[in-house]
Amino acid sequence: MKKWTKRDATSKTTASPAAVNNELRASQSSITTLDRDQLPADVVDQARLETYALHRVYVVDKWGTGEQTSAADAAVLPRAWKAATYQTYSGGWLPGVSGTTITLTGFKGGHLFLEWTGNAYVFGAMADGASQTHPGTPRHMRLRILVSGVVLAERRGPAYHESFRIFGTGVFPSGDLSVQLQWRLVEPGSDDPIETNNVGNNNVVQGHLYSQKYFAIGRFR
Amino acid sequence: MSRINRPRVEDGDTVDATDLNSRFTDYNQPNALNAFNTRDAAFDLPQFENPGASTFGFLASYQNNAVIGANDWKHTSIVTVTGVSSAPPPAAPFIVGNAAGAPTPISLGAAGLTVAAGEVLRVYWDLSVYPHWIGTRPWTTGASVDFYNFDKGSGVAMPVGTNAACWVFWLQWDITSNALANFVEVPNQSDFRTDLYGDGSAYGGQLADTMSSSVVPAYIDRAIPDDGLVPANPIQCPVGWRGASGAWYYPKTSGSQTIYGLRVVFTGPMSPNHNTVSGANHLIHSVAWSSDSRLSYAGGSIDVVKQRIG
Repeated sequence: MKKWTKRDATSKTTASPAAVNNELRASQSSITTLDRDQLPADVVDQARLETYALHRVYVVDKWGTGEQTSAADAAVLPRAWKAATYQTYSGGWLPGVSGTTITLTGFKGGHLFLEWTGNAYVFGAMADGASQTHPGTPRHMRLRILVSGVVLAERRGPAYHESFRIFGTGVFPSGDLSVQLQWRLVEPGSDDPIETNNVGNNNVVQGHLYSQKYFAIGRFR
Repeated sequence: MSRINRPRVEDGDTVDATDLNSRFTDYNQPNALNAFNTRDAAFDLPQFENPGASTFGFLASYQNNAVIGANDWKHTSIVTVTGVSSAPPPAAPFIVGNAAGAPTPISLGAAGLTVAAGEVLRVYWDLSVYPHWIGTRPWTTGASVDFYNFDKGSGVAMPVGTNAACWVFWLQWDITSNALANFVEVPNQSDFRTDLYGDGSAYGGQLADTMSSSVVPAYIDRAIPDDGLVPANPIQCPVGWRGASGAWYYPKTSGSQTIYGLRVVFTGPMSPNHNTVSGANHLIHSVAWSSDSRLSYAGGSIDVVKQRIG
């Protein structure tokens, strides 16, 4: 242990102000600089651990229905999903699940890991238009994670019909964190047919997201 | 550590003795050397390093992994299956196994793994897969629902694949015993054998029930559009060997669940579909060309982590 007492008071001595102040100061210093390294190694265990003292997990195993609904077009063939077409998707970043706000409450400051997983589909068959010079307009389901409005991670994203897992890490101050999980399609090329010849509803689905879920862990020490 | 949560004194506020004392107490309490501040809510690396007591308890309390599939990264002893046939209801899913056909689940021990309230199970897996087919662009033939007709010119139809047909992989668990003989779908996961319209016209599952699913494309079609038309036949592109991977979370907020094993299964080819009345989106078995569809797989791994939520 650190020394708490700078000098022992002895009888019949004159107590000067400096002696009192030094003693007080030494005591305060010992207390305020008490090192947890000096505590017994088993001073804390799982049972004693205060909830969220060390870390906090934020997990949603099914985000809404798991499906993208921000741009869902019903004017598509039954062989397609009710999903984003160029008739309903006008560009820009849209939320993975419409109308849901993600708040990581009680974030105590420290390191944040956040991952977003699911499946994504992109109709990429029209990426190589005859009138375009290379590289054409390769299609991707671009994905990004924003934390408090700042990009934590951004990826070019799936190019076909495949699963995705996008994750990022960062250090953030204490306080509730606002998280947005967003997607963005590539705009159509100049040669793209965006309606089919089939009879009936015939807009062409350009992209979709489903099976969406997310997992975050804040480590506060 | 304790925190002070009290608004500051503003101009014009009345400050009495009680308020002053409360404020003084506030500023003393966060640094008090009491059990909460020095033990329950604040500790440091020496405590984490306590052998056998801390390292696998505070964050992650369990970790396990296993090799799945035919563990051969040179692709010399792969497993190949043919797409699910058209005879309804669709056959049970294929079980990922070794080259001899024996399933390769992950066992979570003789006593199983119990996920208690306040804990979360994280499962990650990957598998080397190779979707392919026989014939030329079979997804555009017969009653297939895997293509759109575009205008070739003068209203003549030109079929182009939707590129949405896929093979679907998902997780099953056994929560009965370590004999690992009673696997069923994990929560929020369909087995894709539901008669979606009640008339036998389409078997599959709703997208809302695919939370442990991961897909890989069954084929890739590439057109050369020209000013809104598709004048030339599209080109079929090899999908090639690729890594399929998946993630699944199982948070437990009340009660507990003992899990004895997990395994990866798959089926296909599957295609998009939506109910024009209810609007529900589905994945359905694409049976018109399934006999021409193939999926080969080699090896991969599955990882299980259990940790405290807080």
